[in-house]
Amino acid sequence: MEYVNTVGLRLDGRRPNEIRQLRAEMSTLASADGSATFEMGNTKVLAAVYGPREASNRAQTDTSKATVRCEYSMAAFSSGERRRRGKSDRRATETSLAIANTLEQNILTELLPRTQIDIYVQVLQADGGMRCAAINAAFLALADAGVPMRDSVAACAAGYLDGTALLDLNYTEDGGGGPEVAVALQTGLHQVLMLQTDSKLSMEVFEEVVELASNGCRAVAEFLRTTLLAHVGRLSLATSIAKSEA
Amino acid sequence: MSAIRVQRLDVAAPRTILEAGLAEAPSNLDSTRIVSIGDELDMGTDQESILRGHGTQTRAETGALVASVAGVVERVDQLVTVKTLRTRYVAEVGDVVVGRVAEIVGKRWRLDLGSRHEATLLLSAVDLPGGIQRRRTAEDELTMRAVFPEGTVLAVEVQSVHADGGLALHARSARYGALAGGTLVAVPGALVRRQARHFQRLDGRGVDLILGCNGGERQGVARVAQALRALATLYLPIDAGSVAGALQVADAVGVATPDMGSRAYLTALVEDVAAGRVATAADRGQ
Repeated sequence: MEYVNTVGLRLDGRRPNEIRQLRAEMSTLASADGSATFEMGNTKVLAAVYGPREASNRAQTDTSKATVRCEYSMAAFSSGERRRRGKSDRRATETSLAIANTLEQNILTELLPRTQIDIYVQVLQADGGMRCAAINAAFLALADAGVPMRDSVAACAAGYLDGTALLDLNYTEDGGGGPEVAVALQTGLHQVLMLQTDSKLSMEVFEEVVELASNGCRAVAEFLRTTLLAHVGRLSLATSIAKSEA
Repeated sequence: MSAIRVQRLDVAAPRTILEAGLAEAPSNLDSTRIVSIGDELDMGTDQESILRGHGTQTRAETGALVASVAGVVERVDQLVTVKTLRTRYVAEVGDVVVGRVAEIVGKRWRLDLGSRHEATLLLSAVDLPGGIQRRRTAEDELTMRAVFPEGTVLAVEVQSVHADGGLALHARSARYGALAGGTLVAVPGALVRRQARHFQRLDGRGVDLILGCNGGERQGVARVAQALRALATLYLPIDAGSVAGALQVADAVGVATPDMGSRAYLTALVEDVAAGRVATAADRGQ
């Protein structure tokens, strides 16, 4: 299959350095302390945050900082073929750990001793880049829950097909057999929080792909910031807190 | 028997209704004070003497003051804070709170208040039935379940906040104790305004706001509960006045109690709130 045509366009009509359309909705679940849905093209992810709350297992309470836990799962209807996965889905467990690890580094856990923050992420539509979409959704949900964090976080993946570095692969491109690198950045501090890949790739290609993914992260971060500002603006409009000091 | 009513909720509805209804009201929204996580807070010339409060942090490399939460910047003299609009209940001493008994451990009841840390009600912080004043014995400990079993909804007061964030509660007054014959409506604690009186005819406070409506008739209870839910959906402030206002709107529009989550009612409610803000602004202007 040809992933980049002669005009330089990809299967879904994007250019190699374009991300898919981003959409986000805040506070979508009433019962959670914070929640958000995040869409990258046809990939749609729902994240819910409970906490900071008293640790459910008192023996595991950390007296110096908060414990961050994450549970990532794919809805049975999320992919083309309906599948029933049990609790012991190893891929999901690995992704859960990656999300928890990435976000824990960003949360000011030392400000919340003896507490626990639970992040539940569910993939509603899977079309590639779920790990990154999950991190973005979870970041929005944490922000919605008022959890103090070091910096804004954004995640985006990039791959390499047909001799071209491609940003934000979709499901078809993901199955193309080329390498894919997922990157999560603290965009203000310019720190890498996560960098994952399952394949071997040469030094030059790696640098090109990571650079492209980082640019994608910065674009996503800008979108997340706009979403957050709009959300806070709406809430303060309702509660009329942000009165101007005229 | 009537069929069960299934109400389809348009998730985006509250958002669009709010924006449409309140955008025209006197804008007290200062967008320059709204910040996102990681945004630098520009404090002008007196960057040096600033005290950093909740929701802020300083960057080690640059020394810049940066927001750690998405919210509204507030400044009192030199103290700068960023206030989040949605967060779990943050207790203050003297708050009247309503919560459910989660478990009984030793000589204390553990209450679920939706706060960040656990809230405990000591056996010694409760009036015994009959109002006898004496030292609590091991026997009293055994009968704790008879006083407030698990699941009981209690109205109590915050007595103190421990250094680790834990809450000590007390119910040493006839006003406090188990609540019955009502509906418990949980709303975001941030919406409930702290007032001098929390036991009003439409009373409540804390994270969970109870509509005891003590002795109110069943239909009345449900209507108030729906009014509260509507206010919470729109993220409008909740106090006795706003609840009464929401009920007035409901009566004026003639909406049936089960339909108080509908788009029509929410729109009417926002319009009423907007009109109220216009009136308040006009009063101030004169």
